[in-house]
Amino acid sequence: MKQGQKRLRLWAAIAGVLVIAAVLLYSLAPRQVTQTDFDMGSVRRLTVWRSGNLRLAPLPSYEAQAAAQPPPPPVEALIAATGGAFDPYIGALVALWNIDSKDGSPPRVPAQAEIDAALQERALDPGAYGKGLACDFVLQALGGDRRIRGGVLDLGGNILTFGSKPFGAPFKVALRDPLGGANDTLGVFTLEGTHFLSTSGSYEKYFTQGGVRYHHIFDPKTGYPAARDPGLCSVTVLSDSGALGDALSTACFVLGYAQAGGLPWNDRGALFLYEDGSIKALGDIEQMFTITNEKYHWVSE
Amino acid sequence: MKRGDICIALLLLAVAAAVLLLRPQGKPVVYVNGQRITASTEINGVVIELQNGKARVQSSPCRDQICVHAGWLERPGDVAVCLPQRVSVEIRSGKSAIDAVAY
Repeated sequence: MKQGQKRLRLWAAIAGVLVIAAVLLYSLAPRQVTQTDFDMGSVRRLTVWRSGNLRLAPLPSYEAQAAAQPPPPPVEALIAATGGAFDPYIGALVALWNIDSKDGSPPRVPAQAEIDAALQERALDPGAYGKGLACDFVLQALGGDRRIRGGVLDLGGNILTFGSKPFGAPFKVALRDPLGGANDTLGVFTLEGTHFLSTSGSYEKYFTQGGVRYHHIFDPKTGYPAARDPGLCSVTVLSDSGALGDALSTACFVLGYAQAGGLPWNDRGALFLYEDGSIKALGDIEQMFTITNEKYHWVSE
Repeated sequence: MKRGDICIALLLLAVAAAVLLLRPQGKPVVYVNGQRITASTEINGVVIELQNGKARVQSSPCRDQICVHAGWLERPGDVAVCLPQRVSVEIRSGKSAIDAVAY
């Protein structure tokens, strides 16, 4: 009788400890939380891996905040390094071409005199670094939360990865195929730690007049859409800073592959995509990117 | 039933719940010869049927019919292969593949 009661108590103790251990393990295990609808302009998705409380605090409108900021010092330095090929002070030119058609009126090719006048004005257009700067703000805000192990922020195609995924798995970020449909991708980045991916392309915003395609990335030297590198479709920059990476992708697109190689290259690298499917790489980005689409191939120069 | 039995039952329930909740979620994705497919298709005479996230080889001109007898594939890791016709059908986990798309 006594023996049976002892055994019962032993079993109860073991079961209790195991249940507590299971509950603890479960509450500490990293899990995925995805937030899609918060007040941040073009933010599509923030996914974080965190332990404990599943709720994410709402994020303020960093994109509006970023757009109101002057260029941060690294972006100012980039303006000098590119000799003005990258210049966020072309707000008047952007408004003149009106490719966004924000006021509802159609875009048009302006007269040369209008372009010359617009180039004289120095009006700030934060479009070339604003999204990246907003990503930097999000990273700062989430960095204070120790329960967050890592995450992926998708800000309208600009991707920020930080921290790490459970069990040390790398982040997988696909690159959309600019020559294909909305769901087609051309390759995958395999990334560990904090990275920022920014793409500048001629294929997203453009209009056609007289059979000529005019896209939205302007060359501040000519006042026309950038065309120094014929056939260039898009540039994707891998960087550790949002604002600088965002600005760099625009700068690389304007400069083209040959001239971009001369930039003081302290970032991780860039992919140059051409309409014929060739891809050129700057920096050591090649090891982190795998082409998964047979239309594309590496070209080395 | 003794108290110990109840404890063991509770413990097993807790473990089962934990396994269920921690299991990787996400829709299974069907790959044929390494290419992702989203609709029923035919390749090398092998007819592959897709239905509610499941896939099977409906018919094949091969002699052994091993691929057809594999039946419905539902879980990540399920595979049907037809060696004579050089076709493989595989279910992979949809979630683990891509975290985001850059553009």
